[in-house]
Amino acid sequence: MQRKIVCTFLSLLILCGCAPNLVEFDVDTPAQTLTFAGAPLIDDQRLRFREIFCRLIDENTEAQKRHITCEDYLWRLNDEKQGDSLSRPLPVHDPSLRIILVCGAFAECFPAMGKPYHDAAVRLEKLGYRIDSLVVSGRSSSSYNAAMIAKTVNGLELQPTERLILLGYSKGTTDILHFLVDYPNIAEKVTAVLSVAGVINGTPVADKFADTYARWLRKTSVKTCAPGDGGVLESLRRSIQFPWLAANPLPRNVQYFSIVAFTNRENVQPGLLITYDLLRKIDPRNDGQVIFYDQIIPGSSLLGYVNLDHWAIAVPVKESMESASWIAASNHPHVRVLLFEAMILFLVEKLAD
Amino acid sequence: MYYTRYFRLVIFQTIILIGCAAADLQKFSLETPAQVLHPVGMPSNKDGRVRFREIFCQLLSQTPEYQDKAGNCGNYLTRLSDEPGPVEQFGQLPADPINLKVLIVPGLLGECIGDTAFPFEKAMKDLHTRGYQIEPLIVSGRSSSDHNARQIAEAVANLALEKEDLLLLIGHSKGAVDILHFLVNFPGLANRIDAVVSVAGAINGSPLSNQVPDMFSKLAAKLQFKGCDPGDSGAFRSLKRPVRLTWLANNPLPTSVSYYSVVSFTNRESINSPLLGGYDLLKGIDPRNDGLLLFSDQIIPGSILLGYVNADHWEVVLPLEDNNSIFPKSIFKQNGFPREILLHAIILFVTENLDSSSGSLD
Repeated sequence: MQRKIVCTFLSLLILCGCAPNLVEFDVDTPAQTLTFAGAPLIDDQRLRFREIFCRLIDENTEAQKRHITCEDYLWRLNDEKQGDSLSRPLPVHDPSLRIILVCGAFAECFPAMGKPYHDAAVRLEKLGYRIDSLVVSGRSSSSYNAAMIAKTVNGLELQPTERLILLGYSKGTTDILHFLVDYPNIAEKVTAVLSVAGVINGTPVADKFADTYARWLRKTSVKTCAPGDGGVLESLRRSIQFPWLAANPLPRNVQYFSIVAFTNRENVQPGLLITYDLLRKIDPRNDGQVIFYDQIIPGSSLLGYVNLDHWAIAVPVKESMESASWIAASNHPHVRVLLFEAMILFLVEKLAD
Repeated sequence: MYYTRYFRLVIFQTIILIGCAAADLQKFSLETPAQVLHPVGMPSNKDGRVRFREIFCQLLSQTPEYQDKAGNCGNYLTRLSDEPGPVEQFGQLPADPINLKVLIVPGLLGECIGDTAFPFEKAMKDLHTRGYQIEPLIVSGRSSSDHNARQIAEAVANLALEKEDLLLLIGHSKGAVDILHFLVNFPGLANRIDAVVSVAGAINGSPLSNQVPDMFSKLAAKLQFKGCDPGDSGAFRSLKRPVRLTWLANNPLPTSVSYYSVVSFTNRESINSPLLGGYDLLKGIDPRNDGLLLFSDQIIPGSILLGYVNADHWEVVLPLEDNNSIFPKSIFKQNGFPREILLHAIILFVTENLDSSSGSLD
């Protein structure tokens, strides 16, 4: 009995110490970014990106058949400008963009999950684009992977008309930013960087788990991926990446673009729910891995807020697990194809300007 | 049976522990650069921390009361990782301003406890003796920022200013928000203002205000405070974070005014007990808070960042440990924060900055 009382008392004490979620899931809020003093300004391009994405959906038979609407997949925060009815036509494809997709953390370890935008890339390759995926070390630091990106970019033979676009997904963007800073000469070959759900400021989730990973898993052998330098989570700590960003101005010869992902809890796939709930204490507008205001490159053009979780926006994790219980996931492959095309068309237009 | 129940209890506790652990994703670390949360497209902030620290520390070292504490200037001004290191020799102190008028606007419920403690109360008296022209500008303690903006407008309109006079508004907490609303709502009168300083300003609002239930707001509206009426009772709504961020995104601040921000935050051990509840709630988001506001929420867009004060939200300006009739004196920590030095340093920095480059650091 005495033990029960102690346990109950302990439970109550612990309960009292539990903080409620102070920030609500509210999209009646402007686009916001957590940044450092003196950070370059963000250019708001949400209106034009929405036009392109929505037009692609409207003109896609499969999307129509599946009742996919762009408003379901692009959040409209309260400061997004309203478009007029006479929007510009879709840009014309320009295959002179040479695209390299850089994968995120642990992607190397789970090849069966698929590469970011694989289906979408196949579709655009038929239109003449040259698109390559760069699988960087799944368990290494951003500095380590920056060297891999540098090697790839350095070895790339670009045609005089070609412009090199690096598309980073999740930690792939972090790796790209480190490459640009660590290898400024090679970085001159790059025209633009597009971040998709990029871990720009790092994420508090990594701050929580990096020590555990370093202690127990850093050197563990995994069949499909080598340990590398073991710094994957260390690189994603907000307490590491944010100071790095403040201390290392990004090269100005490159144009930057950011796509942000966040969704409500009901749309987060089970594999991301634990980390979603951890981040929810800070801000529920997260994608299960990264908070929405941590995903914007300083000085970039902000394209939009996609209503998908951290995996669904780029890779078919859930679908590849063949779980039919999550009906919404059946539309995700189609949305990803159109989202990718919209991003590329936006870049075509913007870089032509 | 007993063991089943006991097992359930243990499981229950474990779940709670896991849930609670989630609250502290971020550590209290000073190994971070200055952080600002702003709507996109806001003007960038400039860094004035080095010069402000010089002025603050030099004033501290010259004040007999703080002679033995001068070497501990760093105890009062927190140095984040991106602030350049200490200078070997202090630069010259700016001269006392001759033509500067200063108005200080208190925060939430400031009017209600005005008799007990007013922001920089003793500091104002000290600087009066040096010839400074500093006055309190009391606004409604329980009203919205738009309501209080009208009160500020009235006070500014009635102010007798000579042609060469400079006018500085200093706002503590919600007072800073009220000032920003005044600037936007009364652009004609805003032309009379040269500079605005936010001290622990609720610029982005506070996540705590999202937690204040409507019931509490209604109750607060009905409460009879001795020194203040309910006004429009919109104070709490004005401090909600979505309200503030949306307002900032939609209302560019006049560029004719120079803006400065002083941020407060401290560790849990230094928080005065009445603010501990707020501190612990905010700790789940970021432990670098002052008991009511997060450190990344206190910076005016486009302002010059003066520094991070190592004090809680009240201690930074209110002499509650000296004289107050609300809480027992004994519950306040005797940290002895040098508020008169802080106010003096703010005024000297702003004067020098306005003189040198129209509010720029370039």
